Amino acid sequence: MDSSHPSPPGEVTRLLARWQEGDQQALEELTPMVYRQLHHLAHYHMRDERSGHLLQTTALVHEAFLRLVGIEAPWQHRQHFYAMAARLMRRVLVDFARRRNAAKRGGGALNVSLTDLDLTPDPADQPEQLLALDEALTRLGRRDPRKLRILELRCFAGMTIQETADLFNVSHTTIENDLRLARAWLSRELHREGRGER
Amino acid sequence: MTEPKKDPIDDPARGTATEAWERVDAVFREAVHLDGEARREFLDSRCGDDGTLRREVESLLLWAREGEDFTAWALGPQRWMAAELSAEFDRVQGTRLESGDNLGSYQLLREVGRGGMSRVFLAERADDQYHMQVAVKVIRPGLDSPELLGRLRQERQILAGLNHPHIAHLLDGGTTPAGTPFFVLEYVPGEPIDTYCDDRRLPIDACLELFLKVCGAVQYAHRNLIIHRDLKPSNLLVTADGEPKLLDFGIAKVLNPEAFSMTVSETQLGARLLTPEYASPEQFQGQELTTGTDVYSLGMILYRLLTGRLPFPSEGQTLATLERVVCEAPPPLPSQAAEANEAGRGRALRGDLDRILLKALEKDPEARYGSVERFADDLHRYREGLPVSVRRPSLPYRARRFVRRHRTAFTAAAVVGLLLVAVVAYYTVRLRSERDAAQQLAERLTRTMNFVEEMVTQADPSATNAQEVSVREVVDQMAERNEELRDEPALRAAVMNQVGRLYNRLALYDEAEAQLAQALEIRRSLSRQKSGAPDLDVADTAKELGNSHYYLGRPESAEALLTEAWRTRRRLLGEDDPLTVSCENDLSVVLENLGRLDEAEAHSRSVLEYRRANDPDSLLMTEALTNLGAVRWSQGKLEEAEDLYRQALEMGRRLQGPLHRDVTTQANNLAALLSIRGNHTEAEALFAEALAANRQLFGDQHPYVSRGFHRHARELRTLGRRQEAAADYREALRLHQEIAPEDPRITAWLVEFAEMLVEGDDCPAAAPLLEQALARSPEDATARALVTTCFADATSRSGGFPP
Repeated sequence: MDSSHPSPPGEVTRLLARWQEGDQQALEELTPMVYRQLHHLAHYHMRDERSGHLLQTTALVHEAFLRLVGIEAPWQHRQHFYAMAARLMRRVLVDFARRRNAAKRGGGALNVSLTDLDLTPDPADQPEQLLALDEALTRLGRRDPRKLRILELRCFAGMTIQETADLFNVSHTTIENDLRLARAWLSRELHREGRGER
Repeated sequence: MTEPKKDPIDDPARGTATEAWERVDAVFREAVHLDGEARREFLDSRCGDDGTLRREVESLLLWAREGEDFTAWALGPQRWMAAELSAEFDRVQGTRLESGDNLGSYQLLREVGRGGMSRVFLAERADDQYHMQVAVKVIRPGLDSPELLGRLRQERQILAGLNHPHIAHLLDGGTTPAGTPFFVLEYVPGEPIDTYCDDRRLPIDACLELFLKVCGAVQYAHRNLIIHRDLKPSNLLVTADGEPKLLDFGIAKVLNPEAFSMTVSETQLGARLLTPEYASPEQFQGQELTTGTDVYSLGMILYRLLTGRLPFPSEGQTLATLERVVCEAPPPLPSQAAEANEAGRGRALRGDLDRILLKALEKDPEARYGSVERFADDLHRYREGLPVSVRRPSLPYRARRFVRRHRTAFTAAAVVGLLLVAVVAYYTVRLRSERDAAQQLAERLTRTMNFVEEMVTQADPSATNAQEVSVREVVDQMAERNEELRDEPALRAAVMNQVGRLYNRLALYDEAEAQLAQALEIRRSLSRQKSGAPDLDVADTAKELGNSHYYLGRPESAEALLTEAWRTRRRLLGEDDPLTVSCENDLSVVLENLGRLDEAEAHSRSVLEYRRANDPDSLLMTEALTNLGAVRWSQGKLEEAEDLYRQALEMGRRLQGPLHRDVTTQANNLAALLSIRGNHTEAEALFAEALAANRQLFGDQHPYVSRGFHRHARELRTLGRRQEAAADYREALRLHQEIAPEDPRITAWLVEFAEMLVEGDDCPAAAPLLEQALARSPEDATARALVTTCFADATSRSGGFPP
């Protein structure tokens, strides 16, 4: 597989800078790079039965991003660094889901909630859950960008509540409340959508 | 709530929080924590007659699940990612190896283990004669860039130099058809040390005895600047005869250069690379790893063996929780843990063992034992009923002075950092063994740490290819950067000394000499300022430089340096210090090389006596036996030489097993001596044994093997077993012509073989050999004589010269 050569760091940095300036096309170009990088890393990091998958994934995500960005990127702000990592991961994951969905052919959104998603053992069965979540997240972002950011950090970059609180320089409780509301809102959205499709 | 600043990563179509939503947010925040009536009253007062607001908040409250565990619910997407990546991984593994496949000259028998980066197979050589089993560790795809392969080869050589009876030996390596590297290791049938001790209900003293052997192995590696970093029971097997074997020494480090860039992050990047149960706080925090990391893991292992429990069980914990516990919580007192596990077991641990274990498990690496040696030393003292060095609980956790690395530091920098830390650790250990050096040590260490930090953070990533840095480059870089220590001559010399040592180990003797000569000069002038006479630093460097000179073929200057080093050490440490003895050993070898045999004899005898008294059953002992044997042989004292060689071989076999290059060398040496002494039968058997072992160790395409065939052939010829000899001569020639076609040995072998054939009246078979020999070396006198003989033979058979 031809993924053993990550894209040149300079290119990624340029794309990130463009993205930072609001160029959405840059994000489109970045996504496959992250994706390749992840696969590359996965080849020798995954599947250690003894330690947890989840944690490994988080580490992978961070590592992929770090390696892509390399040393050149002028990341003075940790917030941006992690927020971008989280957003990229969301994109990558949605890409996974799209491919799965296309492969499956058919199946509209189901009645899903975040808790259902947690318990899904095999994502190959229900990629549409993630796509629905993604769309709901986008709607949440229009309403409340800050909550979206927090949720992304939590869901896609694997940050703990405390880490997120530190990053935003607010209290643990504040983040918890943000997440509670965001989650309630999302659950309702996903539920409505599922009902609407029937 | 403050309005976020302009947010560059959000979509252009992003919205902003409307006033209405912000009100919902504010009311929700408080209401969610209230119940029943209180909530109703609160909503009444906050929403007033704003029905939309109230409906929205109430609706959302319905969806909010009060008191739910926030740590778990968001992990769905990550679980997804994990599953996706696993699936992808399996697709890539389409080319996976299976039992029954051949890998080079090894046939895989069955998979015996798998880890994050590799799979391990039980295998045997496909052309096996002994059916000796080995473990083949296949690296997972992805690690296949040419630079990396090059580095693997180089590092493999260094690892191959780790010869210790309690370290599973690296035998061979290669590349799979798919291009990924594999390692061939000594196969250790055994069980993990924890189950071994548990199942046998090993008493404390027996556990300690076993554990101390493990410490010996780790110590040995540390002396060779290799940190294990992943000590855990599954890497520590105990064989049926109760000997521990350490697996995977250094392999994790070698195979995973990314591990270095991983540890530099501020987040948990290193997480997946470590085994959480036995990992140290600095590993969790991605900080610099030193020999102290191994001390910690050893402490965890001993804790587990003695108490039956782990101080920080990882079951059911998230990594973040575990990290917090490992980094912050004091481990439960071992005696209490043992008592809780099994009533009555705690008593024996109370006191010294509690203290020793807690010392090894200090959160701050600097507060732990300074070396595995010191840890082991306390355990020895405990076993002998002597007072141990830890008298009271050590200081509370201090803010770490360890270098916190920049999160995007590069591999090169990280490697340099690691090596330097090893340098410092090494230097520190040495310093600590001197008395009243504590103050001085603290100062130097601080300065060194600053230096390391600077090196790590300022290493210019564009100066080297960040991904692929060879050991060689790293050492070169250390040598170069060391200039910056100009104002710190003592430290500079220490680093140079270490760099020189590393070069010596890499067989780069010229480079080693350059560093060591400078270091020696600095150290000499420093010692002159201090006391006038050469000190131990001077002796260290002189010894190391002496070794470089010896390998560079300058035995005279080597002798002078080693003599100086030996005298200095003898004066300062005493005749019976291991350091003095090791110097004397080197000296004896050089003297033998110079033909000063009487002196060589005296020194190697004295080394042997020391070993007999102090390390009677060790590789050092076999070395001493061999060295004296070589001297006695040169002196013509063949009987004693034979006796010494026999002892060395017997001990080597016992300590290292028959499949070890040192052992085959010893067998060949003894066989050569026996042959000279006329004992051809035994010589032949030994040559045959060494040859078979070397074929297993190195494969057929190796000069040890072609030359082994030749030696064996010659011995068979002497015994009159010509047919067998002929077969071996043919094999020797065939292989050697492939391996080293220009080697003049080939001519000699051709002639020898032809000679044997002529002796057996087989001139027709000899003729083509002689032709070849003369084509290579037209003036070869023996070949010409043989041609003449054959010619005469041919003519006599045909009835005499024609008239």
